[in-house]
Amino acid sequence: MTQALPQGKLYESQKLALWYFWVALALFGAQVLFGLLAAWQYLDPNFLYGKLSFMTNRMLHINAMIVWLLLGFMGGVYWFLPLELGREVVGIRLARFAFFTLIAAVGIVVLVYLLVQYGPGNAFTLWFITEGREYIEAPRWADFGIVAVMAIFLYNVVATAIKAQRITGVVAVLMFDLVALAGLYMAGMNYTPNISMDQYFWWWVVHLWVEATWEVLVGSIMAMALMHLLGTPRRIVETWLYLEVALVFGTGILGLGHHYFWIGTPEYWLGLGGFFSALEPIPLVAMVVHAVYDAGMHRMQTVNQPALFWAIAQAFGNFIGAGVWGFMQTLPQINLYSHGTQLAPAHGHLAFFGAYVTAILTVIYMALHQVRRPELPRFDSKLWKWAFVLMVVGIFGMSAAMTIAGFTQTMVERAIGGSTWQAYIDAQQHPWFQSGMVWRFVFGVFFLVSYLVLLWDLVTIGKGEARVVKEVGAHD
Amino acid sequence: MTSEAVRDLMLYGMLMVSAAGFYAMFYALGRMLERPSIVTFSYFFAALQALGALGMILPPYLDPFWKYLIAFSSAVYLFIPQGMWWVVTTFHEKEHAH
Repeated sequence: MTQALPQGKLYESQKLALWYFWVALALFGAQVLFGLLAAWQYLDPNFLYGKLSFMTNRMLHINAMIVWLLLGFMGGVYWFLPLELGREVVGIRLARFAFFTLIAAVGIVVLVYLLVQYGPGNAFTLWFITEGREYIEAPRWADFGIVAVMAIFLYNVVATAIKAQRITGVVAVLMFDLVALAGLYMAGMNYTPNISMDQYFWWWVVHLWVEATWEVLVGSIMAMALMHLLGTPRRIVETWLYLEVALVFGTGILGLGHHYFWIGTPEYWLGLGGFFSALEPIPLVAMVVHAVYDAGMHRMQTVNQPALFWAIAQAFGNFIGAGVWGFMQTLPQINLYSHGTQLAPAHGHLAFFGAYVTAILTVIYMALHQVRRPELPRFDSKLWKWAFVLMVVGIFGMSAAMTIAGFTQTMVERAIGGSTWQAYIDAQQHPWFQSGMVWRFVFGVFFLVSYLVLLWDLVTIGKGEARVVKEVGAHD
Repeated sequence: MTSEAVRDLMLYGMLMVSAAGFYAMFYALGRMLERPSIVTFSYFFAALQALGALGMILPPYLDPFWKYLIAFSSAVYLFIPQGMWWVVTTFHEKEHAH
């Protein structure tokens, strides 16, 4: 049985989604702040010496990003799921419990990172301080917590679909993806002293978890978002979603091989990883055509302008960040020299922003429209355009600066200097590298400002709105 | 591999994929707005894309396997905009016909 809500009313699941969104946005701020501190420490290594190390800043920067994006995705699912299935989420109490447990766990982990920072490298450290493994530093107890939360999340989606006696294509994809999401994370908990084996499974989390299961998750959320934002027919978005899943399986999974080039795995990974990685930008180029078509069909007009712009930015950002910046360094012949330089964070910043940040902001703007002023025919503000432009300029500026610095490292340290210690010093002292680091910080400050503008817009948009504008597009 | 080879491969690779994206974008925009001049302009980026591929293929930096792979990718990029445009419009027409 479906439960239709009156206009302007929210499902409990949607109320919970708003909590997810606001905490996600707060952690987004933490990500930017700690990234900025780390960027400054590149310029002044004595900054906060003995108090807050570069390692800790970087760890908090990266982990804050992972957690806030995950919270944003979960919020997106909790927002759209009752709309998709026409009923309240089944385990809503459990969902609330999982939310507060996750937030408490994140708080404890952050405090430990800040106050304790690191340990002697024994089992106690591994379980209670940090695993010390890049990107997945969370201590073991928190790992189990994350898996448990994801299991509850999966249960809620499956149980709601069963109770509603309805499984749409989007929900089916979502369910399969959440199984993989919870399962693949556990690969990162498979600690072994063999560094090659350890790295092998570590990449399952860092690449497959983030670049495959997240891609499908964000695809499912964007599919539901597009139906509500542009009124795109279900058949179209679901077909695109199936296509996307096929492409992720087709190129993305074995594209993982580009991370296996230099970790001691068999040589066939050079060919295998290089082949599928080289094909990865092809579907992204195809999606550009679809994005232009969608935007053009609606003449860039809809009831929710900020959501539409962030949705379009998602298609282009994914292509530029993942496609162009990824391909530039993905062939093993180049990767041998560029691996581990500033080119990697340049690619990472653009790809994460393009593929995920934009998608979550799309959903948040849609949710705010529904919460604040669902009766408004056009949800708009002056500030969101500033936030949009400043944020895009900020991320491109940072990535360009890192690209130049990374290019210098690739050439001076690796290709010319042959990776000697002296070559490393030469690259670090090269004016292109140093200028790159300065500009990275400058654009980091720029990005912080854009974040504050965005936050202010999200807090205020729709409030006190009195004007009535003629309806111009699809329904929200 | 020499430093010049690394530099060239990186820059030509970047040119190849970014030009493929601009080609797709301008082609779709031209078709959307029914402006043949924009479609024609998009072919400039198609040529740039092919140039990027040639920059990786012609010098003796890469083994044949990689050259074939890049040539294949480049050929695919040339037809993606037209192919995708056909898919997208056919898709939507069928949907609206229902």
